[in-house]
Amino acid sequence: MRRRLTKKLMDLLARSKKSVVQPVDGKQDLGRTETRVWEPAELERIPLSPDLQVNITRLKEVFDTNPDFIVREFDIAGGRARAALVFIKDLVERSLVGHNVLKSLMLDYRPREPNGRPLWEDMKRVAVTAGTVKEITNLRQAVEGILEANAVLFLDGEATGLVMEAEGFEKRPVGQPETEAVVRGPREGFVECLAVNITMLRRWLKSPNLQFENMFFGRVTRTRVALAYIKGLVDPGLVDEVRRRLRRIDIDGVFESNYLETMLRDSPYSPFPQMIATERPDKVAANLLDGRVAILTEGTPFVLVLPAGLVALMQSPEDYYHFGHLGSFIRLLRWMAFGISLLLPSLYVAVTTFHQEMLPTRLLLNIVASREGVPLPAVLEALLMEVAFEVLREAGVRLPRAIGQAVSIVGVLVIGDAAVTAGLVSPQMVIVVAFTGITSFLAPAFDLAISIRLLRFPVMLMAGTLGLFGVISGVLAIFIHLAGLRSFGVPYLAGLVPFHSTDWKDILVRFPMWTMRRRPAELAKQNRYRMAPNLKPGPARDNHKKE
Amino acid sequence: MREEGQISAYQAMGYQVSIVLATAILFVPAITAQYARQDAWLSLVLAYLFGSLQVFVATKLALKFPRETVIQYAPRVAGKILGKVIGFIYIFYFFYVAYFVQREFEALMSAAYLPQTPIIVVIIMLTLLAAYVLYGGLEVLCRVNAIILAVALFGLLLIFLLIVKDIEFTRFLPFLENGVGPVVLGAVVPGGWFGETAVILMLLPFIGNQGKTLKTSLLAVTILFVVMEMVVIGAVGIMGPNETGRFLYPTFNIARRVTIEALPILERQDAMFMMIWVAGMLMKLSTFFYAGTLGLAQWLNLRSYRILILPAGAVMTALGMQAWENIVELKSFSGEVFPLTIIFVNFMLTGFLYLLTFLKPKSLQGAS
Repeated sequence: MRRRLTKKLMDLLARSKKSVVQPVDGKQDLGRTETRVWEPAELERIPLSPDLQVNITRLKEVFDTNPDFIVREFDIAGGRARAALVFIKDLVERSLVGHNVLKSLMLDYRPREPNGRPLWEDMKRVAVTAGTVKEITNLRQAVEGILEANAVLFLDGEATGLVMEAEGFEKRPVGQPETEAVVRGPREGFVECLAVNITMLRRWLKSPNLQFENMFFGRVTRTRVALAYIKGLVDPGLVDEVRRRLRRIDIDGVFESNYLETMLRDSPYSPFPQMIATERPDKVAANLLDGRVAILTEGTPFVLVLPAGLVALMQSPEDYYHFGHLGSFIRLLRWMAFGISLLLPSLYVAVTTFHQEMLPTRLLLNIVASREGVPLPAVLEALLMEVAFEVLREAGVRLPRAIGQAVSIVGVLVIGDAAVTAGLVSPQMVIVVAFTGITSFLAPAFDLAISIRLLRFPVMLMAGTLGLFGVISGVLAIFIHLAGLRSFGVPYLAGLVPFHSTDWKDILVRFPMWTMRRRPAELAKQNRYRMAPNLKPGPARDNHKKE
Repeated sequence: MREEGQISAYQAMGYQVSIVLATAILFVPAITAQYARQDAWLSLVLAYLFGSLQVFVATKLALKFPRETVIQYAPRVAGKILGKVIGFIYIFYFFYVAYFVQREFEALMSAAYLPQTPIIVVIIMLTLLAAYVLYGGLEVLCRVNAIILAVALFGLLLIFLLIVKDIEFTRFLPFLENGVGPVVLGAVVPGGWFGETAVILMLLPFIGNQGKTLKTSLLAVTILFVVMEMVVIGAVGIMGPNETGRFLYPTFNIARRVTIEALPILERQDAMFMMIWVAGMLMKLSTFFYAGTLGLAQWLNLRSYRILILPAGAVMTALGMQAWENIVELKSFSGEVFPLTIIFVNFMLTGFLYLLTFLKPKSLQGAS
């Protein structure tokens, strides 16, 4: 009932708005001075006028008193026609505008007479030297063209405009990915500029089947977003699903890919990441080859890759850049670290509080002796230390670099040494917390490390109240959660359960390259094999016989 | 009512194994050894045959109605009123096993690990976890079970390998000291337990490749037989029949015995055993809890069982708390009463329905 009422109200409002904005068709309305707000839908209803002055006045009305909005009026073809170039001063490359448009139109352009072509066509063909141009017919396109760092050309007598590429502003140069450094492998990371990022992907995947789809999000920010996938590899249903979910998003601003991520997830309340956010072009390219989809967002170096399960989140590109044994070793280490960073403090608390008999007697005596003066129960001690660690870590990220070092030294001294000497915590606890903190940095996906960090605390509380039973309950709860979780319809634990034996070549260890012929079983279902069979290297057997 | 998601016959097999194993592994060695003494291993062979028969009948019956659970077709097979009654007996049986499991779980937890914690805390904890599984549905149950079973079987194998050096085969002699009678008596309890695999009656409509179900069900009983043989031979071979019969949880005692001289850190690791066992108990509880709530929802013609999860869980917990005074009563109950009741449902009732389908072939119509 209430919904219906509100809908009616909204309808009424919309209609009343419409009546205010009569589609203007000429000279009326020109003298209006009051400031007003322009909605894109309104602008779209206003077609461009053949009268140059009308177009200019309207654009001036839209951009109001913005000082950087420039209208440059000039004559072309020796005064045969009037024209205007409209742009925003600091968004465009001035030399491009000057050279490609103004110089060539004002000085160099001489329409060849007599030829049958109208001036507009002739000008487009002969005089406009910009690479990318687009014809437009309504005011919205003009306004958006201008705001997207283009220059828009109008000619008197033409009801169309020409949007010309003239982008020119400062970009951060391509640098190393800050969060995903590698020892061996490419050191190029994504940047904030979408065009540059797309270029990087294109350079990795030189296939016409690499498909990009452009979209815009944010009513005000109009952030450009590119959906990338490889045709013939990706499951078309997956792309449809991503498109469908993206289309729902209607928000005023998108500043980071996480804005999209939170709106695309399958289970919004899950603490686990359901997409990979990465700064590495090579990682994105490799994942596209697995049949995944990437979402690149203007303004952030973090690209979303989906669908992603636990297995994919535990893979790092470097596993494949080193030779297999090392890759496997690192992978095993990483899974171990995953377990340790989730459970070590809890296990320590549970064993020292509830199950002392599990420890060898000498170790137990040691622990008891060092805990003698500690005023807190183990679980509080652990919580205190973990919180202190998290505070230091967060401070280290935020503080200016010059002060950061001082803080970390003080932090280490305070929580490491002084706290033990003062008898506030036991040295064992310092070891446990420090080691746990370090292991959490082994996760290749930063998001996964965050979820583990968050889950560590409830498990610790359970350990403090119910001992190992509490720990196993916590682990089981996490397991149950993960077993029910999906990322774009793909089970989160795919490979483990549902079990896929071919995927196991790339879960706990990394098998040699030539054995991993298949792409992940749940993805790329129509294009399974990534390489020819029997690629195992070795000396050719026939050669021996011949020699 | 159609539950979303499908499972495979092998996943169903995973359940059948873990639901029996979780409790049987604790109670069966002691109870069987009490009756059959050193011939307990022979009792298990009989139990295996009996269990296979039960699961065979249950699967055959279930396969006749590939789209429905027993609750749904019982009224058609046995007549409206009798069918509803039979359906209710099944439902009660599922909850009955579920709260029996809750109580068994509590018994070991409070005896061995958390003596000062109120037992209700432990029970509620496990029940909440099971409820969480149920909210996820059958697929989640399946996936969690696959992981837990793999870990549990691996753990059991490890324990067995560590203690195999202590087994003395003279403890199995003399063979058939008191004749065949005690061996048969000793087979009743594990036989009943093996019959719990008949829970396939509730799972079958959700299985994708139903053609394999008969094979996998029998395979499940076989796996159970092998594992239980391992445990019983280990218990009797190490402690002798007397001691095995006297302990409440002989398996637990075996796990406590595991020592490796070179690695003192691995001593007294029965808490590790507990962690695996908790997971197994969770699976058993979830499966019967699931079968019960699903059955109840179908019995009441509800659209989804999810609304019943918390109320049913609460009632179950209350029943479990008041049904047995203490652990001694629980043990004698699980040796003397429990197997007979579950044999009644899994074998007699199921067999009865199976026979009826032959007498009333019309009831098969509509089950396509």
